[in-house]
Amino acid sequence: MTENVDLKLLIGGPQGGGIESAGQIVLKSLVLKGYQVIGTREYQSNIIGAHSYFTIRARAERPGAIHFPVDAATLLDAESIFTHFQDVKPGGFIIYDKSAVNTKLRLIAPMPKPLKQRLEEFFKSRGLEPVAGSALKVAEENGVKLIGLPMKDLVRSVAKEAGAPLSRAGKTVNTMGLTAMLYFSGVEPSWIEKAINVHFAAKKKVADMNVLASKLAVEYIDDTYGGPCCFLPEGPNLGKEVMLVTGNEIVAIGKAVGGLTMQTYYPITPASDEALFLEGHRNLDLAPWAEEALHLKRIGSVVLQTEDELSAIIAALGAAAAGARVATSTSGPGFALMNEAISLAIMAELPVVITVWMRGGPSTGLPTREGQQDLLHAMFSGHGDNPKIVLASGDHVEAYYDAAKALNWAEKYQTPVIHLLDKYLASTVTNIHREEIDPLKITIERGKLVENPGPDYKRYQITEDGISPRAPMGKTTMVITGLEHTEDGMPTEDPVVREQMMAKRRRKFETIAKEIPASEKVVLHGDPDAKVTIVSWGSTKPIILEALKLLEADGVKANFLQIRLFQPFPVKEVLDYLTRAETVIDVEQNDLLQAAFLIRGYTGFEIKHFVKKLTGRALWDKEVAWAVKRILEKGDREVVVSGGA
Amino acid sequence: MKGRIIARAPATGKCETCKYWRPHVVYDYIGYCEKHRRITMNDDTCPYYEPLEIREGEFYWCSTCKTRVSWEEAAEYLKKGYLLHRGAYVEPDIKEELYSVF
Repeated sequence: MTENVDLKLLIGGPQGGGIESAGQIVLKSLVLKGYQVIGTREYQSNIIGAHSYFTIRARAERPGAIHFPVDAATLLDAESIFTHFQDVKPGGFIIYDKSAVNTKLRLIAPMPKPLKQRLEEFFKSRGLEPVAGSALKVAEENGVKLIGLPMKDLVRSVAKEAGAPLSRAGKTVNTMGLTAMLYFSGVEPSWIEKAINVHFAAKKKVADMNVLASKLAVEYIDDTYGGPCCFLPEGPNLGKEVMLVTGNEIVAIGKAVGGLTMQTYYPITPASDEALFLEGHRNLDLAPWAEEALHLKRIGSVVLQTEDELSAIIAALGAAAAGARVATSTSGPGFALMNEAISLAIMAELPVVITVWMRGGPSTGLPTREGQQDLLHAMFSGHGDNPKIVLASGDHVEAYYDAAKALNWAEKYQTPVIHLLDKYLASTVTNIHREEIDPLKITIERGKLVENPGPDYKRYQITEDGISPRAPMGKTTMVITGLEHTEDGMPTEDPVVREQMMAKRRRKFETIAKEIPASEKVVLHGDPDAKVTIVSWGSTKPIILEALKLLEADGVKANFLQIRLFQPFPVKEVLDYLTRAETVIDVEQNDLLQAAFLIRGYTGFEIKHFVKKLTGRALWDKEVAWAVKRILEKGDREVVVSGGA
Repeated sequence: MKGRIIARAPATGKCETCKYWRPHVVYDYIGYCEKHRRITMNDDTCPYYEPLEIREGEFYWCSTCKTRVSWEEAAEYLKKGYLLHRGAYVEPDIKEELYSVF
């Protein structure tokens, strides 16, 4: 029975109005009830008031993507009603605040003008007054059930029953909205209450107030709408211990387990939450099983917030020179500032992981929205000949292991490792089972680290594999420089030494290409004999895997080539897979089709079909499947998809 | 020195038009009363009620359009029936619901 459950929900409201908590409580309720979940948040960069929303999907098997239309939506203000009234499927329902129905479209200040104009035209063409109530009427005509909550009266009741001030009761609006949506969908109130108590575990009074608000919402639904519309059975994962984590958090955890000792950063969306999570757990006592697994009593790292991104990477390089296991975290604009130091790290052979959380660019661009636009930036960052490692993670579990692996590679090969992630992964929450992030699968490798260098120690000793023994600064006298140098680090412009050092760094790059196993460079998902190959990278992975299922259901057999390592570029592996397919379709969230550009440059293989999304919103499984079918049926060169509000 | 009074909110007797009341920045049916120093609902009443005055040179919060406006705009908006206030109320722990945006 549960295999048929595929619940898609949406909670929208003003930024700062409890949308994040509401989303988290819904996810927790559904996980407690035994389902696997994914939840992703879309928010504006204006801090307070503008529209933000959380989309959630729950089913027995872990969902890999979200899409519209949803089954139900809680729309806590008029802007949310105007934005999402067409995003609920017929037969679904909308929970809304009754006091919002008379709100005029033109009075919604934070709404982008182009959207307002499109909506004005929409209502005009239908002869409707542009007020929130008209939007709801359109939804109702489309077969959507409307459930109005008198939020103001309910807030008053919460305050009265709890004997609490309105200031506290007023913050339960989100809980009442989410409760109405979950309860009407068939989630019993006991699961919602448990989730509230888990979410506010450290704030007993807040939890009690929200539980009371939840009860009042249930009573209202019972009294006014005769109880829930449906029954949601218990899911197959009932009672299983799971973690609900964002991409930011799982990368922080991967770094911590991977032996990070110092992280530097300057705040930037969507990277900051990773460093803030590390900061919040910088001295973490371990559970007995983890203590045993990691042979550590506690884990933790120094987290340093610097005055800008150039300082962040320079501080990291200083710490790396002293023997720390370091990373820095940023996004496109911050990464641009780090460029000069990337070359320094390569010349000085200093290990550093640069975690780049991509967002919509160029420039400040869409600071809180999705984008995969920094692949070429990462590949060609720094000046001079500058071989480095560039890898991209596809999902939470991959990102966890990659975060730890990047630290190993940085130290083993004494070079910068650029770990590409993006906003979608950063702000997507999913459930992870403990066995999926087994710390025992992570080994800490530090490469040729020399604890006691002798008197003849040479920091840049020429070796066959291009990798010199590395002693921490302070253990012996050494010179670390961005100038070309001799084996002992002394600056030189001698032409013979220059050639030797260039060759040494080139050999190191060849060693990296040779030692990294093929399985970590590319992964072919699905039937190797399929005639259609979708090629992509990064967070599109779980979305494309979902799309493959939709395509198969429609009789289209396709596989998916996921490129994980971009530098050194896996020429042979990519070419092997792409030449097997009859049709190759590149899927990316950037306009230049950056991965396709690299594929052509490195392998000479010309991809002829492309799917791209540029809106800054999450890519949907449905739109990938639709675009692939369109290409196969009509032979389109390029299909641009643009779902999402 | 306070500027000249150029307009007054309609004297409805309710908090939402009172000069001592500042609506919540997000949910404007609750707000902070500076006189009582507590949160009240927008349709509450009390003996200290005084309608809001729009004065030259001041800025106001328009809860209808969720925007800060100048005194000239405020006077215009009052005529249209919008709700104006001396400011908005931002609860101290609103940061818990905001993402780090830089």
